[in-house]
Amino acid sequence: MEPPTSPSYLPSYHPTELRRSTSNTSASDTASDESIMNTNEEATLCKLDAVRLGYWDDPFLSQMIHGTLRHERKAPDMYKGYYARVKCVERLVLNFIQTIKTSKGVEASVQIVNLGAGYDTLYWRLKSNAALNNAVKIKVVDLDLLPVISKKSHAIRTHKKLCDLLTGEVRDGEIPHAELHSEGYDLVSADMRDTDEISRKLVSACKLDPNIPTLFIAECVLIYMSTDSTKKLLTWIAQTFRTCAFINYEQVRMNDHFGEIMFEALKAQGCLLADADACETLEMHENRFVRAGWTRAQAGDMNTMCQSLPQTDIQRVDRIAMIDEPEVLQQLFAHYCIVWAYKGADSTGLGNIQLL
Amino acid sequence: MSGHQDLDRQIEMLRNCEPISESEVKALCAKAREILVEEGNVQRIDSPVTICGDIHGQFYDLKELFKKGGDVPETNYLFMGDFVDRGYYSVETFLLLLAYKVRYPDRITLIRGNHESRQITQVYGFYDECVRKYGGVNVWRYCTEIFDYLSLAALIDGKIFCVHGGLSPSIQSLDQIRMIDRKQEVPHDGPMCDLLWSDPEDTNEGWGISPRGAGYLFGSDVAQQFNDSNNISLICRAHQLVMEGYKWHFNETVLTVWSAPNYCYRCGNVAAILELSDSLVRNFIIFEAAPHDLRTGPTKKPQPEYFL
Repeated sequence: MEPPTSPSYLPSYHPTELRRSTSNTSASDTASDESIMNTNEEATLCKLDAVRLGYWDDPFLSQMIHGTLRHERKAPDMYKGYYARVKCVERLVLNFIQTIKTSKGVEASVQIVNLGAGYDTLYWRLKSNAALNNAVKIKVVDLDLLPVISKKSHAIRTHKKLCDLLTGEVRDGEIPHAELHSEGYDLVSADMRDTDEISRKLVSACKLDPNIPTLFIAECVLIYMSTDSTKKLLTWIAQTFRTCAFINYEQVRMNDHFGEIMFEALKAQGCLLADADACETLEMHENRFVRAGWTRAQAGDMNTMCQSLPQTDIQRVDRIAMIDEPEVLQQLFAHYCIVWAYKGADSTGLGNIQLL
Repeated sequence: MSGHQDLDRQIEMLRNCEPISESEVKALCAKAREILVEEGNVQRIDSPVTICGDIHGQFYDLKELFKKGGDVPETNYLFMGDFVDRGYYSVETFLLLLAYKVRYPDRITLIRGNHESRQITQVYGFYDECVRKYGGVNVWRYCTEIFDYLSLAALIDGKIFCVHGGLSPSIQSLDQIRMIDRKQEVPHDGPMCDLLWSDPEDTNEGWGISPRGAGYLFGSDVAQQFNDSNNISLICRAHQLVMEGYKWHFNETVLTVWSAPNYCYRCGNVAAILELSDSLVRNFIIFEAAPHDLRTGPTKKPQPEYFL
C-alpha cells in the first residue's frame, strides 16, 4: 500500500516571506553559547523521558542529569525522533567498530571522539558490552564547552554506576574537577569553533594516536558554527588521522518554509543556526566533507534512515505511543539527516559501510 | 436570565483565553450534555453554514478564524472535530466552543474528532494541560465525558456529508451510522472508529490499510458509491494536514478542510474554512497564524518542538 498523499512537507504555498538573517552572529556569543548549552539539557531530558517510556535502553542517562519524568509529555513524534537518532548513530558506531575489528583482528583498537558530546552516554553503553570490549580496545573522548564538561564530570565522579566503568588510573585534566582522563575515557573542554584548541586537547592532552582508526561524532553541533570553522575542523581531522570516519546528525532542507520557521524559532530562543545555509540539501552535507578532504560522504534524511533500523523495533516503539499523523512526522524527519563520511579506507573496509 | 449572564461572562473570559473555574466547567458540561444527547449521530444542519476542520488547541488561531469567518452567533458554524491536543490552549479552545454550543445551540455544531478521546488526549497534550491548569484531572474527566456525546457526523441540506475522518468498510448508508451507539470512548476499530480515523487515498481504489494504525484508506470508487447510494454530492472531512488549507479529492467528491494554521507552530501551512451559502455556493477563506503580538497569556511566543 502506498502512502496516502503526496509528501506534504514540500510546501507549495509560502504565506509569509521570512528572510534569514545571520547578521547578529557577532552579537553576544556568550548569551548564545548559554542557550546552545541549554539545548543539551533539553535534549537530554527528552531522551530521558523516552528511555523511561521504553523507547530504548540506557541505564546511564538518568545518572547524567537531575530530573524526574516530566509531568508534561512531549508528542510521540519527539520521542520517536530521538529514538531514531540514537539508534542510527549507535548502529553506525557499532558498524565502524566491527569493521575495524574484522580488518585488524586481535590487535584492533579504535578511538571515538564525540564533538559537543553533552551528556551523551556512548562510552558507558559501549563499555557495558563485555563481548565488544573483549574484542576491540576502545577509547572514547567527550568534548564540549567547560560548563557542560564540569557538570558531566561531577555526575561521573558522584555516580558509582558511571565511575565504576572507568578503567585504569583516573586523573584530572588541565582543568581540575572538570576535565578527566582514564585509560578508556577522556572528558575535556573545548570550543568546537576552535580547531587549534581541539587539536591540542586531542593530541597533547588525550594522547590520541593518529594511526589508530578514529570515529568522530557530532549531533546538532556544526550548524551552530561558521562555515569557515567547520571547514577548518573537518580539514584538520582528515589531515591528522590516517583512517577516520564521521557521523554527523543535523538539520537539512533549511531553505524551505519549515526550515525558515525553525531558523526563526530557534533564533528567538537564542540559538542562532549560523550555518543553516550549509544545510539546505543532502548533497551540500556530503560536499562539506568531500571538499574538506574526506574520501566519501553519504547523507540520508531521517525518513530514509528509519528504514535502516530493524522494522520489528520500529513497530515496537510505534506501539508505545501511536503516531497519529504520519505526514507531520515525515515533515519533521525530512528536516534532519545523518551524514556518514570516511577517509583513507583502503585496507580498513570502511568503504564497505553503507549508510542504509 | 441569570443563566445567560453567567454564560456570557464565561464566554467573555474564554474569549480572552482565561480558563473558567472547575465548578463552572462541571456545570457547563452538564448543560452541554443535555443539548448534545438530543442530537443525532448524523446531525442535520441547514445552510448557510461555515465548515471548519482541525483546531488542535491553537486558541489564537481560532480567534483569527472567527475574525475571518464572523462571530458566533452571526455566522452558523460546523466544527469537524480535533479541538484539542498539540496546541497550548486546548482547554480554552474546547471550552469556548462548548460554551458557544450551550449559549447558541442552533448556531454551532460540534462533531467528534479522533482526538476527542481519553486515550489520545493522554498522549498528545490535553490531559497534561488540564492537570497543569487545574491541578487535577477533574476538568479532563468532565471534558472527555462530553466527548462521548458529540455527534459523529453532520448532513448539510441533505446533500453534504461531514465527518472528521472518512468512510468505513462496515458502513454503506447514513442509517447505519444512525444505528451506532456513540456514547462511548472511541473504539480501536469498527465503524465508529473508522469515521473518525479514515483518510481518502488519491492513488488507489477500494480499501487500504491506514498508516495511522486505525481506520482505513478509501479510494474514489468507495466515495462514489457512498455518495450515490446516499444521494450525497460531497463528503467534507478534516483530519489531515494540507499545506494549502484545503484539498479536493476524487474529482471534487471528497474535500479536506484544515483549520490549524502553522500546525504545531512549526508546519508552515495555511488554514482554510469553507463558507456555504443558502444555495450551497462555496467560498473558501484562507488564513494564516495569528501574529505573535496578538498572543497574550502564559506562553506568549509559541515554542515549537525540534530535535536539539
